[in-house]
Amino acid sequence: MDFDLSAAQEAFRDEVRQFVREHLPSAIRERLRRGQPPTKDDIVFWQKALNQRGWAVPHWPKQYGGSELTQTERLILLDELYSAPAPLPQVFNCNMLGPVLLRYGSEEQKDTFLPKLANLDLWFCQGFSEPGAGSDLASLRTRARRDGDFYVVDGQKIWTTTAHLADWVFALVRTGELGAGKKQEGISFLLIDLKSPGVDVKPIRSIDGGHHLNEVFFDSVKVPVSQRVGNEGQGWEIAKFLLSNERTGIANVGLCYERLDLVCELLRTRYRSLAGRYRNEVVTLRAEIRALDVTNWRYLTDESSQHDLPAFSSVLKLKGTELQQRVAHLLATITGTEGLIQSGDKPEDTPLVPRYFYSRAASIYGGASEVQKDILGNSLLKRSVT
Amino acid sequence: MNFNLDADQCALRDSLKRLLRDHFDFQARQSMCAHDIRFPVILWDHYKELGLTALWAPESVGGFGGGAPDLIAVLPAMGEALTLDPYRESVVVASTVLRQAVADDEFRDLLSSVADGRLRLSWAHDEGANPVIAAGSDSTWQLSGVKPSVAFGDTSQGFLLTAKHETASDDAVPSVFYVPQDAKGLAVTAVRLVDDTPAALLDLQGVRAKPVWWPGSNQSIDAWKTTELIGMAAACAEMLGVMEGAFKLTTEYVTVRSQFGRKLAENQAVKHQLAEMCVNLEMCRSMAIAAVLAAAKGDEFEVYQGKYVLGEYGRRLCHTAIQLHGGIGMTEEHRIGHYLRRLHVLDQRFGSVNTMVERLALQESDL
Repeated sequence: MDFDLSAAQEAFRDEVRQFVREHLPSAIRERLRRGQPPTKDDIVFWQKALNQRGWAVPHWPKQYGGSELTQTERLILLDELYSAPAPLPQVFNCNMLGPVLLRYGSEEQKDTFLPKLANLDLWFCQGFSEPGAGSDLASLRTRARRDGDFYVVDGQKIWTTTAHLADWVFALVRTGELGAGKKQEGISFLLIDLKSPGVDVKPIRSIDGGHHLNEVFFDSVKVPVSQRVGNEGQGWEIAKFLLSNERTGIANVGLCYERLDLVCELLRTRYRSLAGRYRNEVVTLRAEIRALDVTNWRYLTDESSQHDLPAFSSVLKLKGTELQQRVAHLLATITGTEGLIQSGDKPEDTPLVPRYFYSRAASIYGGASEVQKDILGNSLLKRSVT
Repeated sequence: MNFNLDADQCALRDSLKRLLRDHFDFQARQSMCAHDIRFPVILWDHYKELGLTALWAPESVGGFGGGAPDLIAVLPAMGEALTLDPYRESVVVASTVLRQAVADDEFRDLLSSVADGRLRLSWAHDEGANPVIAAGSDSTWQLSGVKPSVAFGDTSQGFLLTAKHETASDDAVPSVFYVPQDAKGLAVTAVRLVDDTPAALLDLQGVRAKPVWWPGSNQSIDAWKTTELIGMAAACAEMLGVMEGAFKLTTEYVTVRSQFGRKLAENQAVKHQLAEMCVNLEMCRSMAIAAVLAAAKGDEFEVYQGKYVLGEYGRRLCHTAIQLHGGIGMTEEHRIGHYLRRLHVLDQRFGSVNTMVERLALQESDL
């Protein structure tokens, strides 16, 4: 047993640090530090910079712009991006759609889309949830009717993060009848250009007052059959692959540490008089984040951990969101009544209270905590019986 | 980066688990308590055969030169079995003290006797209302005061006993003295701790004792800190086993017990509690490994974090374990409640969660 990084891994960490120091504009760094979400321009600029080094999609094959980093190197890269803090590579492109195309896409789809996904020349969003299909995703109703070389799509998606910034959406649609067999059957996976006639994106303001979420309406939208990924009816399998595929970022350890650093910075400076009151909470949170950190390393580098507990990723999602939310709340609390004034989008704003409000989403998206506990509980009981 | 035991450590762990299953099941434990048997002679002989008593002594005195990471091979199994033998105190902690004192022939001989399993020493540290004070200087030191709860002190042949000098400040590091069990002026009263651990109250009145290191010396302070860190890491490793035992028992119970015409496990509220226990257990498995590795390096911050997480999450897990057992979980005849009793003792020993928070807070010096 040892926790030491190899010399090569330490050297890789230094390499990332140096890259971030040289290429990340301080304006972006400072805005992120104050709790502002990165703008689209920030994300695009930074992803193009990372992509020059193969670090926008480090887990992809080199042929498509990746650098085939190991799990450990990916985690080091992610840690350093969080601690900078720098924008992360756009998750829908890099961690969701990319791996799906690598596995299920046609050669033409790979050649067309993968380089653009890596360089963020196209911004994809995810069209999964619907008004009647949230945690119970397979109940979705958006229809895609075959008409020659096209599908005609009718229906509605909701909670579509960044749809208002996006060029395209990857969506689950129903190509078979709902009710005929199991509801997971008859679902297909389509890539849809949001500029197509009949697409309408409407904003949803969230409880932080911000615009992250949208409704997306499809009214007889024509989508070429060549934009279907995988076979007709293979959509559910692809969706499951997509959701289980992303492992490195699930615990959000780097985010927790970075936000806790901000807590300490505020308690050293502007809110110095409160340091005594919050010191113990800082200490216990740091210890718990460290526990998550070590657990995350175990999960990513030790294959036996997943063998012993198939639902290990639920452990990380549950604890990761809990800690993320606790740090966000702590930051909001420290700002006290000063933090109560509604902030705009000015660069000098420090929207820690809105960030706290929005942090509540973390235990809802990507499989709500209740769903994670079901998955984990069932897996434990199965293990106990066998 | 490697989180797993090596082949030798795995073999040792598996042999120990088999041994405890064969010679120390819960009934054997209950019977030991019922008959007030205070030392499991046969089990200890098996420990010797397995090489467990020699694990922590350096090779130069006939030991195996084990290090802190070996704690993870040994102590979780003992925690799960709720052992009532002085392995943690008399082998792990005592060897840690003595192997930092082998320059002295007397202590070197003591260590060699600990390694071959003949000698059992207790770590007498925790104080009560009347702390032990060391008076004197140079060659003659006299100890007076009370050590109220020395684990396994009733059957130990001697004590590694901490005391502060009468003029020492509150935050001074105590010195460690060797006190044989038959020392003049020492009265030993047998007691039991709340987890059934046999223990003793030591009343010292002018007991003459030899310091293990020169009181107040740098060596004394360093050795004391090392001992404390290893003690904490050992408690972490044992708490991990306690949690594993409580979790396993609870998972089994809810799949067997029926109420309202269905198994407890079929209730979502119960299933979710199991999931939360599992999350806490995995965090603690990580931190127990982190704590033993950190103790080996003298990284006190990480050890404190580990002791905090194990104590805090371990307590929550044991509470849930009793809750899910319902009424039977409240009975002394059922094993599940004994896990909380052991966990509480281990939380208090070598510094509780509150002590850890206090110490960690001191290290956030710029806050």
